[in-house]
Amino acid sequence: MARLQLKNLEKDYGSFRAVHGINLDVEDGEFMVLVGPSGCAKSTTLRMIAGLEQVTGGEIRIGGQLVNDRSPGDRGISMVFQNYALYPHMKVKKNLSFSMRLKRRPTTEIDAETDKVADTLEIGALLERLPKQLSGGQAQRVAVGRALIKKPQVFLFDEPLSNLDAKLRVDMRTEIKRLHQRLKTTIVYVTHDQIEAMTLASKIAVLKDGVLQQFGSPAEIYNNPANMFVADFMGSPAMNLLACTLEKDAAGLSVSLARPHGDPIRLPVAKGREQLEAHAGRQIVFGIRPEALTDPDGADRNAKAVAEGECLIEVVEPAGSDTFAVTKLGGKEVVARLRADAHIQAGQTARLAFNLDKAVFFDPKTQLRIA
Amino acid sequence: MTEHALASLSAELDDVSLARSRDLRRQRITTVIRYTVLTLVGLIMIYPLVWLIGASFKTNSEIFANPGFWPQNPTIDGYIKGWKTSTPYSFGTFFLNTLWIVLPKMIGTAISCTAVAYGFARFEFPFKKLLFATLIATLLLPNVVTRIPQYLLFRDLGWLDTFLPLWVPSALAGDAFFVFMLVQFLRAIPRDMEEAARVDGANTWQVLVFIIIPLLMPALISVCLFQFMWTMNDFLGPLIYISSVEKFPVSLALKLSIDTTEAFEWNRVLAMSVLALTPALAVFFLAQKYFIDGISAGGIKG
Amino acid sequence: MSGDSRYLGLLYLSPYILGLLVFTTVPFVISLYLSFTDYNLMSAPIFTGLDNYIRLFTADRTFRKSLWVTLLYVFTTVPLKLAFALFVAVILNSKLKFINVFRTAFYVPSILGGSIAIAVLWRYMFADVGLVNMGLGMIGLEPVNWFGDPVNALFTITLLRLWQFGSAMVIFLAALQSIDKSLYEAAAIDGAGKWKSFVHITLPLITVIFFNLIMQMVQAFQEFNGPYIITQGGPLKATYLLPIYIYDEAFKRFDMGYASAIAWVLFVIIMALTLIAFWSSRHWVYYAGDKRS
Repeated sequence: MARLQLKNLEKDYGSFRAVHGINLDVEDGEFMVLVGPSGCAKSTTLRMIAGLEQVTGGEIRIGGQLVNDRSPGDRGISMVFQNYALYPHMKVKKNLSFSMRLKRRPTTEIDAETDKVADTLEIGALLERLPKQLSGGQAQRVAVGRALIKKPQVFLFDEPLSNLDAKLRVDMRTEIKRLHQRLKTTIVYVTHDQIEAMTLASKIAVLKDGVLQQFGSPAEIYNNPANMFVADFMGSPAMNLLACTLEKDAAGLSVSLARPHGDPIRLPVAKGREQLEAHAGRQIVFGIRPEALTDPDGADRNAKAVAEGECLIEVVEPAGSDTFAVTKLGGKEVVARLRADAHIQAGQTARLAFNLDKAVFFDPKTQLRIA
Repeated sequence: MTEHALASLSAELDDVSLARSRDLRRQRITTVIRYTVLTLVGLIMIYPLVWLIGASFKTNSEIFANPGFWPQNPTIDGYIKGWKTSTPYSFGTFFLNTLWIVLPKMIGTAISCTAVAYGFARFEFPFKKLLFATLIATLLLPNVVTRIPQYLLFRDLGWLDTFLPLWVPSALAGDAFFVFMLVQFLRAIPRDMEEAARVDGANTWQVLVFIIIPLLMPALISVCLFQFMWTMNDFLGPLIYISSVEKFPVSLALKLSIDTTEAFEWNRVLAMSVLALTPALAVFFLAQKYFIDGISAGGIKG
Repeated sequence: MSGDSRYLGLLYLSPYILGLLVFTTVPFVISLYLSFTDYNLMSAPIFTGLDNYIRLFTADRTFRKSLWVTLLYVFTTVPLKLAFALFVAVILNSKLKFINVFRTAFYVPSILGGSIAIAVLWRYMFADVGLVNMGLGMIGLEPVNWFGDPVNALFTITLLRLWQFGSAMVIFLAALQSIDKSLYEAAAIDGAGKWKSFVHITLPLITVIFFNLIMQMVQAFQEFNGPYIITQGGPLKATYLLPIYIYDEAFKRFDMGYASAIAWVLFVIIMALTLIAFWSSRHWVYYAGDKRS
């Protein structure tokens, strides 16, 4: 069982606490992505799982066994490093087979396994080359191969794609996903790129300043962010977050967003009415993703609660498959995602549809999501 | 209007080109001066060595007659007679002794200094700062105070008149300079390859042997070359510890050859001197790159 | 890393720690003790308190001579050698052809210079009918009595040390070549003359001068091979440097206690001068490396 459990995991550097009590439970075969901005201690956490950093508090369990005091080679893990960390003085074949040669496995076994891994990753032609003769993508595969050959319980990736160019990054991303589908190993993957997180993960752990913000599936993280940080960090372009007052009237709860020309637009609360009741009359943060704010023809037909209103478009950004329009609501810039062929021009007003099924509300003091 | 502008413009351009040619001339003169000084100094520096080689092929009388370096009647008489020496041993014995001192010392240095540098560069442990401070202190410390008690220690161990006093301190990383140099080299090597090796299941020793030492090889070669050179020149050590002539290294044998007689045969002594210098010179020319790189790295980054 | 003992690093340091204790720390303490004793290897050391030191500073004319000669030697050769090394390094620091040839020519003497073979050569060169006098004769000058005259004898061993300026020069050259070229260009635009830019930009940036100064000084105080072979410390102790005096007392006369006392005096002098240099360095050493680090 390649289950990974982190219980109250802590890391202190002297008096500075880098990692604050992280609790995570990763099931066998999950692809868990640790994501967060620079300095959020995701790499530190990964390195503690690998055994490259000493744990100063809490437990790490792999396959149910406590591994805190086990050396990195003794935990059933493998790691792909950001700079690949291939052994420069060894040919690719020797790089791949290093772990087996350390265990003094018979040559026949070593050769068989090396060939198998080389086949899987299509690096058979590179076996006799030195690392400096490899391209970035090839070196990456060799690094993955070296990790694969160990048949680990948990596969660790430390920002493996950040050194590749954009196109290669997308290709390798798909390859990694395909690899996971084939091998079904437990993976812990660190990245600062939230798109990578969303596309690859079966579970995402969002970290900020060493504190776990939310742990859940990509859909949960995306649609029900636990707090404002997660809402803002995940998804591109970012979720629109607007400070306003939660009003209560005869029709129910609603928020009003000021418009530069004309009256404020009234958006009724569609879901989460019970949780929001307590906040009636108070300051609240209203969140809506750009794709929930569209032109009326492009709106989601399955959406039940939709409000429409005229908005003054300030900037139009055609992005090929979509068009982004920037307007001002509640005194703040708001991004809407329209269809590519929406006929909209800057300086004009346009009718926008708000999909209020997808709206979320946050408490401005605690930053937590209310509904 | 434009004529006036053009005239003043062309005057300015003339000034610029005049200044530029003046600068070029100045540069050329400086370069000539540089070359002259350098060549002069170079010749003065090298002449003693050139003369030495030439003198070793001269007859004894010619040495004192002719300051030029080319022998009039070249002869290898100095080499043949000098090799035989006035002792029961030939210079071959003395060269072998030198080799017998240098090689184990070199190997001992390489091994121990690598291990110690690895400890300093890659590990945290209690008293690390204190120990590193002692390393630097040893680097600057004059060892004149420790020589006498070291002699007494070796006497009590019964190691007098053996090569052990010359080998053992270096085998215990006694030459702080090399430890320091290797630590500097190690600091420049990124750690992720070693981490990958640990994840692959290597212990710290295997990481050292399979990953670090191959990467450290240029530095290790520098260390060995420097130690080779320094040990070949070592005189005081053998002078204190080695008393049997049959164990004399070349440095002591040379001294012996100018001690023994009043009017000794200079061409023999000089011939043996040339032979004494040859290994060091040969090694230097074969491995120049490692020398100059090593000295700059140790000197600058220190 | 996980699984490693806290003391693993110490295991790798163990040869050094052993050597440090056995060959440095314990001898260091013992030599201090010995300096307060009378020890001639036949019987056990006899504690005599400050007798050795008192004799050294009041009754020992050899010591006074030796100390004076040593100080003269150090304070002549070290500045001269460094100045010359710097001078040549500056000249060499330009886009010349054959730079490597010159560099080799200057460096080779410094790797050979400490050897007995070169000392022997020197002894020949300055002999009454040696190379130098022959050369002087060729340009019409009188031969000089090198080894019979105290000043001349000192000159010969000084010259030997200066001949080895190459190692210092190589270090200076590397430092000069690493100075940011843009500093020179900026100064040129500002109109600074060659001398000004040398003094204000080049010199302060050469912290290496400082490092070299310390190393050279410590080495010079411990010079042995040259004077021992070339002049045997003579004439009349004119080149009788302290290390030779210590050697004679310890290994010719086996007066270990007294020799230890001399060694300690030498040691204290070297340490004092080193510390003074470190103290004063605050005013004139600029760590260019700090900017990048």
